[in-house]
Amino acid sequence: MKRLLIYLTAIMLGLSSCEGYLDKLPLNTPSDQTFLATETEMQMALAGCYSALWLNHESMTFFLALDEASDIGYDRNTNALQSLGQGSADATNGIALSYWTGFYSGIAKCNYLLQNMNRGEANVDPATFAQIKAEARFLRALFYSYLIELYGDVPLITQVQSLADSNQPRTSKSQVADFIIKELTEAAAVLPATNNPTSGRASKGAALAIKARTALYNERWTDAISASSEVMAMEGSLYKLEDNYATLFRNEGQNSKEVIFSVQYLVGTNVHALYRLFGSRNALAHTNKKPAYQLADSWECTDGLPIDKSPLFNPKDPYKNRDPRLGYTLAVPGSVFLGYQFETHGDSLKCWNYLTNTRVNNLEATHAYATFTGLCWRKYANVEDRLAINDCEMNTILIRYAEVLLTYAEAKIKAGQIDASVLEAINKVRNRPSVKMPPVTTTDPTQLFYAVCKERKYELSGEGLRLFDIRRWKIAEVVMNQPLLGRMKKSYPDRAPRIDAYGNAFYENIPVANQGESADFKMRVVDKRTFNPARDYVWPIPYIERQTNPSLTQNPNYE
Amino acid sequence: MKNHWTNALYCNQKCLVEKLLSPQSIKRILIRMRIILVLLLLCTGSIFGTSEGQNLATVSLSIQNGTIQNALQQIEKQSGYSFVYNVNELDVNKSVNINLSNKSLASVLEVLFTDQFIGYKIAGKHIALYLLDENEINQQSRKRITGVVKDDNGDPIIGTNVVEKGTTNGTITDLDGNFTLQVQAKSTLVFSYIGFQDKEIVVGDNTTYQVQLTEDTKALEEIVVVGYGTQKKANLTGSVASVSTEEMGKRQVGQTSLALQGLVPGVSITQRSGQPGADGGTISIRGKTTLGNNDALILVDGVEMGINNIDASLIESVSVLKDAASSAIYGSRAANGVILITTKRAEADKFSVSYSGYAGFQSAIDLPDMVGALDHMKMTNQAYTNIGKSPLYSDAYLQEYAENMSINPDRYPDTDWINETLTNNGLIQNHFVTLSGGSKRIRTSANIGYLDQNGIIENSNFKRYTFRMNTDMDISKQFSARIDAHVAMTKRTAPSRGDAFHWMSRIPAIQAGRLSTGQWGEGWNGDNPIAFTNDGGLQKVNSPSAVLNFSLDYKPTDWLTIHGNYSPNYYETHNTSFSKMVQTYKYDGTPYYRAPQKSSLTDETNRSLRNLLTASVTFDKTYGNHGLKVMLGYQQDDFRNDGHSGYRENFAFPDYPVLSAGGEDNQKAYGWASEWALQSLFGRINYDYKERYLFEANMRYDGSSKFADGQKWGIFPSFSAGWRISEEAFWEPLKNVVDNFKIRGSWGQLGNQNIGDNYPFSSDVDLNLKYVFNKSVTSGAGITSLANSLITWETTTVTDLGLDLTLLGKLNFTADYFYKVTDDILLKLNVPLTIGMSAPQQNAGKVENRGWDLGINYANSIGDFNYKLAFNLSDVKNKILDLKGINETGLTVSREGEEMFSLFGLEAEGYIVPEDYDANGKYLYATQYGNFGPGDIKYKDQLTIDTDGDGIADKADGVINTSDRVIIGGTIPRYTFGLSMYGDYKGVDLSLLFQGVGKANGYLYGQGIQTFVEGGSVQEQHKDNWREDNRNAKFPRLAFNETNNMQNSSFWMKNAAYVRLKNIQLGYTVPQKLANKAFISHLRFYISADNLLTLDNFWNGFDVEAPVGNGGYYPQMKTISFGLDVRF
Repeated sequence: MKRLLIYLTAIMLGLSSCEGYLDKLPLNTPSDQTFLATETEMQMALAGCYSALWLNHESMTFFLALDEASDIGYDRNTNALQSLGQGSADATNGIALSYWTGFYSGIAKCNYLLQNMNRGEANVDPATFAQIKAEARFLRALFYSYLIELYGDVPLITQVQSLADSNQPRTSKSQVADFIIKELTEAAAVLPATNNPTSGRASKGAALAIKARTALYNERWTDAISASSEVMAMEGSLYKLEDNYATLFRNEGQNSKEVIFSVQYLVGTNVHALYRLFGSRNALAHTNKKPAYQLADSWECTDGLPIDKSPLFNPKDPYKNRDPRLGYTLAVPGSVFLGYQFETHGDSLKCWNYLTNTRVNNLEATHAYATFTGLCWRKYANVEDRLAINDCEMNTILIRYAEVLLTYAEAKIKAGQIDASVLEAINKVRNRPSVKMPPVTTTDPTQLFYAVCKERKYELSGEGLRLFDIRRWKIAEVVMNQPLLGRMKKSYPDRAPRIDAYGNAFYENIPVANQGESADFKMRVVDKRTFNPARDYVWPIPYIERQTNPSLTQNPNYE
Repeated sequence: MKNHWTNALYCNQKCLVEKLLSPQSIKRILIRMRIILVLLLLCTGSIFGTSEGQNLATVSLSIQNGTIQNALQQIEKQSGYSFVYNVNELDVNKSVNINLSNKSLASVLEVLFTDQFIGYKIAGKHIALYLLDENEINQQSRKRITGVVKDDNGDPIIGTNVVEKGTTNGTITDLDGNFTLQVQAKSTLVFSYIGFQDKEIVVGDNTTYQVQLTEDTKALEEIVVVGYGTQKKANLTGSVASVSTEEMGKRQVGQTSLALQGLVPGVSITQRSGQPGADGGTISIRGKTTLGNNDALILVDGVEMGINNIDASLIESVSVLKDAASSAIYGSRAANGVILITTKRAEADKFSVSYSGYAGFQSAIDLPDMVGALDHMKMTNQAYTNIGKSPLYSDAYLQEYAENMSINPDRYPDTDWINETLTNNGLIQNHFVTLSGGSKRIRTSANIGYLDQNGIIENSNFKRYTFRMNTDMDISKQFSARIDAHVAMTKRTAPSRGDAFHWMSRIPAIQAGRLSTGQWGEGWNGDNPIAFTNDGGLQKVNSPSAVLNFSLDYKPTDWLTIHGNYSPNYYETHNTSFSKMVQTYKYDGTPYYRAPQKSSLTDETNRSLRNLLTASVTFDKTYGNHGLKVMLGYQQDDFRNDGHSGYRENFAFPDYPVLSAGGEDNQKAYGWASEWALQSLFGRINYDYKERYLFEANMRYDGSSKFADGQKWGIFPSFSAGWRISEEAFWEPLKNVVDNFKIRGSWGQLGNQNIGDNYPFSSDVDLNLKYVFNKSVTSGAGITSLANSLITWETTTVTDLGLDLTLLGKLNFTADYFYKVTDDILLKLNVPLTIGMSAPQQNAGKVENRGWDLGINYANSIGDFNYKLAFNLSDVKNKILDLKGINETGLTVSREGEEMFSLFGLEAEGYIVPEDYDANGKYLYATQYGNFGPGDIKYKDQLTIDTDGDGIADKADGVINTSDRVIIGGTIPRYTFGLSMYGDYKGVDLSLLFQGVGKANGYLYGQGIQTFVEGGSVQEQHKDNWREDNRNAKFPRLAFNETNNMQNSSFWMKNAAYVRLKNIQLGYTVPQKLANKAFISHLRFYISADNLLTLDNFWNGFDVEAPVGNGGYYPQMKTISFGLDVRF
């Protein structure tokens, strides 16, 4: 027995001293100690940085969702984006949190790559190494460009953070803008001057375009002019306005010379659901995100006059004789949309199905959740996606050449440098073959500024830029402080609404349904909205962020 | 239950007695001489030494394979006596094996002629041997009596000792409980058997006796299973509760975790779902100690297993180790308490077959009552109108709808989504068969269980097949072994979409479910729960598992046991989820939405192997008044999981949900692996003085692979002591009232490393960050989570004070007070999001739990009426002491100074009324959310501004926002209690189990209780909404797409205290005589109902145990079942 005890003790000691029994290391992935030693690993890390562009709200690319929290759009779902639009968000708003998290997560990936890529520098061709670095810097600057426009001052983090040094205070918006402009300037010097939008990669032109946008938003007129001029210098060889405006938002337009940088999608890898969110009920979509009816009344008539001025405007046939971009941007009653005759008149019980060439029951008139405003977004709602409404792979455009032209024009006007190039830039946008709107001729600084403002609305609505425009022009407190309207269910107003200098429509002279009134013959109140100028020009800093980082201040009136 | 195991020896002796009584078997008997010697103490055999032969000389005999004649010759040689006998009466050639030294002549003769009716007479130097005649036998034995011994159920008790009082004359009952014994007339027979009260019978004129023994419950409870051993209950110093299989067996539940609900003080079990296979309870022992996994450690015969993986019928007993002193021996993962389950084992020399089974029906305890189509539209219009929008439906349309609803239901549907989705029958059936038997050396019990449970939605089912074989082997006197095999297979089937309950309580009745053509209606944009539960493909989770347990005990002496145990545990899950495209149709029959857009299949397999190796040495000895028990042990435990999954979509043949039948484009394959290991040394010392002063110390030294070098090991000690005051001399006068009075106290520490992440110390490259370049996928990688190499054990320190009291032998009372503090809680504390990586596990929190638990039981009988009452009540108060200043802000939050998982929100102060506005229509109080108005919930504007700089906020800011949120209530149940009552009278038995919670909060939000959430519908109860003429409404004004009333607030919180008739059961045991005619030893029928009645104040339409959420969950069930227990 003694011997047995000895054996047993020996076994126990043997086992317990058995080196390595408790040494278990991850079996799925390498540890970060050796990561970034080769070009392959760097390219993988760079792809990781790009993947942050897939930040989204309900399967719509992050920047596209912003229009639904502006005066031109509406999110039907009761969610955080709707609250932002209604002016009822507080510091716990989910979108304010998810966008903050998403951008900083992208920034952290860029910081990690930039800080650690020297580990493998010797193993990589210097030009490739420099380009990887420039792409990461481009992406980091891009994420910051959205952060400052949404939140104002934000912590500027350019190094990998540890728990110990994570209590970073906010850096002023202006300083972050300086950083963005500097980074993009340096990245642009390295990035290749190519244009291949479906490559998905940052190019020199993309860096300059984002630089121009950031400079414009932050009133750095000189930078905005120089960066946009540099892009404009590449016109012809690399960039060019697409002749057919509608093509830009269809699959065949993904490689258009007008697209400077787009977010890439691929079925099986990552997709968006813009068909389902934007499309009509007949076309098996849900019309979750809707344009405001006010937007439809913004576009000029083909004579270049607003609808409350133009003799070409017929209140009974309101979409006739209008800037073609109205029809390219929105599905309006009487048009063909996704294979169906689109008609939202309450008595239109039947409509034509062009896909089967049959007359079918019209759900837009009868379905309780058909579009509330009588309109649908048309950009990105592509009939090809009708059998895979959640699996759309068309790239979404983050920036395109038309915006650069308008940026140039606006910066020049603001800088007091009105010249022929300003009108040329604006009119180039107005005069593309599929648009052909009369040229802008005024050289009055104020009138010309309004012209650019209107042009941005006509040209870029539905592309995620409107929220920043109404903020920087300080018109949000006007346009967001009124109900969001839908069409009269069974009629049209007998006159045009008032159109202001910025191209915004107001309905003082048109019947709007009061509480409980039928909307058959009055404008329908789709969403009640308020806008507090002392609060709502920036989003709140996420509440939890101020818990974990006491050195962060909150934007005014959110807590 | 009879503890037959310990009676193996007696049984064996009984067999011998039987053989001894048969003269033909002498040969075999002689081979077993040594054992017979022992037997002779009890049984005098058949030799009657008459008269003078008491002082005869001693002799020694050693005969191998000899004959009687050889024996007689040796005796003659040694003693000098010579034998005289008739060769016709005595077979001297009968073979003999005998080995005796220095025994009296008389006893040698007794041995030699055991079981032969041979008498002897001594005359001078001669001994005459002769055959006893019948008279002589009768005269000398006076009486030969026979009888049978049975228990209360009428089952025979084998191995009962039957002894003539005051003598060593006795026998043991056989397989059928029969005995035969020759006794003096008018003597008294004493019947005794472990676990039963002794019984005495005076032998009268009868020669046949029927004896019934009554179970001695007090004696049974004396042995309690504790960590790595057993302990006399009287000697326990820690807080241990035990539950017998009888109590557990009352519940007809698929999941064993629920069978414990309401039975154990300090154990709170909450059932949050009724889905077959997922309807187990969450067990929490004495509150929640950590912010992560709070599950108790469950050991089945020493091996960790999921409690729901075993059939309740397998269980012999359950011990719950509640304080640190009891559970510290399991150190590493015992911080949340330990539940020890002992399974049933076979008895020697008894073969039995038993069957128990039940079948029943389940239905939801409560379901919301949704409004019909017309009400939905009218209320929608009201909701639009209330907030200043235009009504959605015109009066003309409502008129048209009402007129056409019955004529054209496809176009004008009035769908009762809940009723049309809940069409499955909820049938549950369980069958359990046990075959057990064995000999002295090998005993085996084979158990086969089958559970089949249907859900209330189509295609939901759970099946469990259990097979357990428990084998005991006594290899030799020193070595014994146990070989157990537990093989189980669970199969859970459910619709591939798990959101049926979400959709059925959301979709308005105006949406079509099933058209008159049989086609599926639109539902909600194609999400049609009637369609996808019937026709949307299945998710099948099959989990075969095998747990083997080999153990070997070496007992070189009676005070030393060396135990070794190896248990491999193999577990697989096969998860096949086929999401089948469902085509819906418009009312005109044309195709409409498809959900999902395309069929797809994910087929995933996980395999895991766990190896548990334990070795221990136990020393157990009493030195006079000092009892000492020392145990030392070593344990290692390792786990590895490997898995892979495949994905394909576009199935041309949806009837073949296998991967190869799917389209090849966009197919995907994944694989993964992970492992962890634990290593421990442990020891325990028990010391007692006169079983009066008790002391115990435990120590466990644990290592975990989850921590980095230098942080791997933790030491967890515990100490406890008890004083059995009732054993003191001064207690003697009280002893007949208070039989047992013990006070005890304990202090100990327990470790926890149970975090989901196996490698929290390691910063890994995330390989899932792909992106698309040039319209093709490109692999991506990055660091997405922070690592923490300093992470180490979480420690829970528990102090427990308790007392045990028994009054009049019938009333037992146990009470405990405890205080638990958990330090270095492992949690993913929020970190600044600007870091851009997910939070690491940190040792960051500190939580305390203080509480008490109390158990009382009483058993008695009045004539033939036996009854038992048991009551338990416990409370635990939880408080977070430290969270590094980081307070969460969601709905259920953990914040410093508050209870874990508290509800956090605005304080509702009734409704806004028109008087809250001034003449200009300006609202007089703090601005609320969005487009608020009269009839909306009014919130309290908390004091958030500090005007005088004293650090205490003293002014409200006039706006309702994030800062106005406060803790509005806790979610952890307080004052949990159970009351069980049992009575039987002449075969009829009735039991009731009440269970409940004295204080708790429930919370529903979203479509569960709010109106028109995301365009959804409303319930009948919402008709009681605020209107000018209905200001005391149950619900605020109807409002569409307005967020004011949807804020997290105390308005939506409800008291979730309840009392539930958890189980009521009426049984009938068929009388023994009747049953025996069908060769049945026991037969009982019963009818049982679970969750029949609940008293609560929770929201209508939902069970009071509904999880905090939007109500879109599989509701809890009530079950009515019929059952049968039969033993042959």
